[in-house]
Amino acid sequence: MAGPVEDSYRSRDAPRPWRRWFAFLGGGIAWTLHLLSIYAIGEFGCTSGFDETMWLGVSAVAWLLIGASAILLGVATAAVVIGYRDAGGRWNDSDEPPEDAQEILSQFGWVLSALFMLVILIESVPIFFYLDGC
Amino acid sequence: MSQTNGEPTQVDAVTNDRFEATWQSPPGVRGWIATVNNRPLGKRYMITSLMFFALAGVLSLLLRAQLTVADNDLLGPEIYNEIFTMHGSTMMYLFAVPFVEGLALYLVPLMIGSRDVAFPRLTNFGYWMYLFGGLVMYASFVAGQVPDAGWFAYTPLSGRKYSGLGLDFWLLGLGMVEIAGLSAAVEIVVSTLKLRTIGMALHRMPLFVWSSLIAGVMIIFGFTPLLLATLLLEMDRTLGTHFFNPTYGGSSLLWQHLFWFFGHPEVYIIFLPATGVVSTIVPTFARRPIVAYMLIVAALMIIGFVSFGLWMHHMYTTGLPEVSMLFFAAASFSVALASGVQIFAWIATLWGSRPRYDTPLLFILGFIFIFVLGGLTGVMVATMPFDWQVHDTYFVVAHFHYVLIGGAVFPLFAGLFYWWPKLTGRMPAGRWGKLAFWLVFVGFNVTFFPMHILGFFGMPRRVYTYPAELELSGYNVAATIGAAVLALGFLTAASTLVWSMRRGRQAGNDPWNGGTLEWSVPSPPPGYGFARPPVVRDLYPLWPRTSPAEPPAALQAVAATLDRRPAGWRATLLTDAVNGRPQALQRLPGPTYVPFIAAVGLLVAASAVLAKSYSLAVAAAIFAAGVIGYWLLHEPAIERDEAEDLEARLGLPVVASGPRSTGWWGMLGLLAILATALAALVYSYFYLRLYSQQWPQDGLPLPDLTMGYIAYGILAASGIVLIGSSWSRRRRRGRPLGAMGGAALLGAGFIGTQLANLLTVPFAPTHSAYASVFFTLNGFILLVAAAGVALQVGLIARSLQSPEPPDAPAQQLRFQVVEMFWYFAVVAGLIAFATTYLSPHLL
Repeated sequence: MAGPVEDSYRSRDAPRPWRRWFAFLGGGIAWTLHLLSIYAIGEFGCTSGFDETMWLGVSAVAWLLIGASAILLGVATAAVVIGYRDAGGRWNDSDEPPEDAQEILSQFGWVLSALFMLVILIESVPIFFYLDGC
Repeated sequence: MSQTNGEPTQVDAVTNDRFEATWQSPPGVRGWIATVNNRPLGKRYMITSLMFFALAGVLSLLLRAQLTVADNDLLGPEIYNEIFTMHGSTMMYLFAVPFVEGLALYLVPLMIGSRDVAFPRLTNFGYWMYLFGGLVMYASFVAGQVPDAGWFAYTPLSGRKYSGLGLDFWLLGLGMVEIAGLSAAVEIVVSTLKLRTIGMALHRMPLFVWSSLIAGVMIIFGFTPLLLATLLLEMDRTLGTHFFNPTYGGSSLLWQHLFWFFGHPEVYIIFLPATGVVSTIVPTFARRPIVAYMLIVAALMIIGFVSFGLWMHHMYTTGLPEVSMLFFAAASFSVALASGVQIFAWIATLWGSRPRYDTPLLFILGFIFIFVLGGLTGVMVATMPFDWQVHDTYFVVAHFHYVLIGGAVFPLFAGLFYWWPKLTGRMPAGRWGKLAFWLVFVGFNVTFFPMHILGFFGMPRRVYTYPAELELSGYNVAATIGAAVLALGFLTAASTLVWSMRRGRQAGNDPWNGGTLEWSVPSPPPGYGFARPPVVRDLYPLWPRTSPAEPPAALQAVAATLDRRPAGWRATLLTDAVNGRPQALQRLPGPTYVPFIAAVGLLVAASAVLAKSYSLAVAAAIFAAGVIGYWLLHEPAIERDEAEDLEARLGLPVVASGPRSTGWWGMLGLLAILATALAALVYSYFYLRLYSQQWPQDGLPLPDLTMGYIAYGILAASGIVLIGSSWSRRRRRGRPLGAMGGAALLGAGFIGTQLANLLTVPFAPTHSAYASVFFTLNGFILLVAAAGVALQVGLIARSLQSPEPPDAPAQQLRFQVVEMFWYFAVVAGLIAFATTYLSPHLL
């Protein structure tokens, strides 16, 4: 049962909620998946000897690591782009916050996801020092 | 001031008296056991944890006495091991986390303008589990079997071969404390998301609440692997399984992975609420809003996520692949950046202001100084070559004490002095408080700074003495003198606070001119906290308003309607998770013995395991489960007339369902815990698989796929039937109860079939690590399924007796949470099937 108090706030022009939440949490989730996947590829790939399989002079483990990093960097970038577009390019600190906190999710989300994108990039750098094995 | 506070307005005396009586706890021992109010329980958490802090402090003085001079035999190696194990365990498990949880349980409802937390009975249960867990750990002293494997309990040292009964005290006590921690975490997370007052959108949420929310989520994902690991180790020790026993295909490193997956976030679980304290106190004493509020929230979120990506930097010397270690080194550097953001924001807030250098701010300044040093050494030990040099030396001891005492204890003492007037109604003496700060600050640095140097000189940690030839006594004497000064400082702080309870001057509502909502209610706050829900428009609702807009009249009307209402039963306002818009009322339970009885049941079960009386342990655990079932079936009562009146006047329901309700979110929290446990078990399976030459180990046969298909096929069918139940309930067609009955029957069929499967496999759980993980993973699913079937049967029984129509919100909510649980059981079962049955055939 939705009361009049709640109904009076609904806006039809706002971006869909999933876009807001994706902008807000997409970067963090991409980072989580990135760390878990590079850990799993590193631990399981190196221990099982999969790093000895080479393709174009680069080990299979390194290819997998590069692939996982590229995909999840793409997810984080998508969160940044969606958040940036929904927020109209604004990054609002507490001086003049918008009335609708949903908008905050986008404004805040694209910056947060950009920071996670940066962390994914930093974590991906070591891959290029181990292209031919673990 | 931009909101209405807790003062009564136009309410008649009878309503007022009824409201006051509704929120009172019973007097005496009865009230002590049965109270469910967040403030007495939060205070009790804090007092109990401070007592454990004092105990751990005494133990640390014994350690320092032993280490003062070379070749000392004051304690001897055995007692030294016991003392350092209990010192570390007490500080980490019995003091730091429970204290921040107690502080959050006390403050979060006040800061968000709620009358209580979302699940008051769970708060009571959590407290008793915490106390009983701590007592079980310390009962080891009475039994003469003190644990001695360190606070980290590395295997194989903590295995049955090398550690006696003391470690069982440790594991069972810790298990109970972890359950308490998880209870409080779910409580804090759901309360923060759903019980914020009118208008408190995410961007108006105090930073302490943000940090508690993020720490709560971290506890859910961090504590669960440790709870699972302690359970597996206890099974290794008592039932003879082999998870961590390399002789039978287990792995000692698996323990380290599971432990540090908890262990590193644990540091941030303690640190984040402490930073929330700092972010609250700094603006008050600088007399201006915090700088870069949103960046601080971003930093908190980044720390919350990234702290889970650091566990391997505790394992640099265990022979991991280099590339893997570098990923974790990179993550460690990233988390330092996020911490730095907060430090700059605090300095920027203080910069150019004219701060009041009272005791709380002194502790904060001390924190900034010490934590920066601890953070710098953190970056050093996150660098692999440096860590390889200083690993297991006193440099690491110095580093983590700088982080934990500087990063957590200093802010927590700042918080104690800051909120003491709210807790007690009295002001602590400023002069004595400042003296306490200086003693603690000087004592701390004299104790721990020399340990950096001792580490460089190669003094090993966890060893009871050192030879005189190393010439380390000078630094050790300094450290011991520092420890005595530090202890004197803490004693002075404690005396100052206790003295002020009787002699301190009256504090009034807001002695510091704080900006957050807790300062709007009397000190100490009444049982209900807020007679009338505040309407919030700013981050600092008690300071002159920065937002030009008036709250909408509709919102003010909601607040006025709820002024001292409902009077005859406990309730608080439910709002939406993002904007803080009113959605419904949340009815809350009154005092009850039920959570206490459930906790006693689990205490008896743990004690029976220690006494090796396993049948009693099982009986007590079943009793406790039954009591919890009784608790779940008995929802808080409401007075129908008043409820209907409020519904009509508010235009809001008195009972909510779906994502609007706390019950839905609570179930989501429980499922997050179970999903984390499942993930840790699946990880353990593949980890053991990876390091085994042969799988299944020791020539065991592959699992029988046909039997697996039959059992798990029945489970999947039950899920499909439940989808039908859900569909007919939503469309108000068919018989949802009948479909749920069908799902329950199929669920029971799965349990029977899978039990038969497990009883007929040609090996026992004690055969090898493979057998242990096979049985445990499938046993976990059986337990989840049994709980799910019990929930379904309970719901059906209740629905048949209940006068409520199927589409009533309360009835809808019951269906929703039971369905959520069963869907989880089905998905978890299919994952377990793919792991234990399919994967050995495919990989």
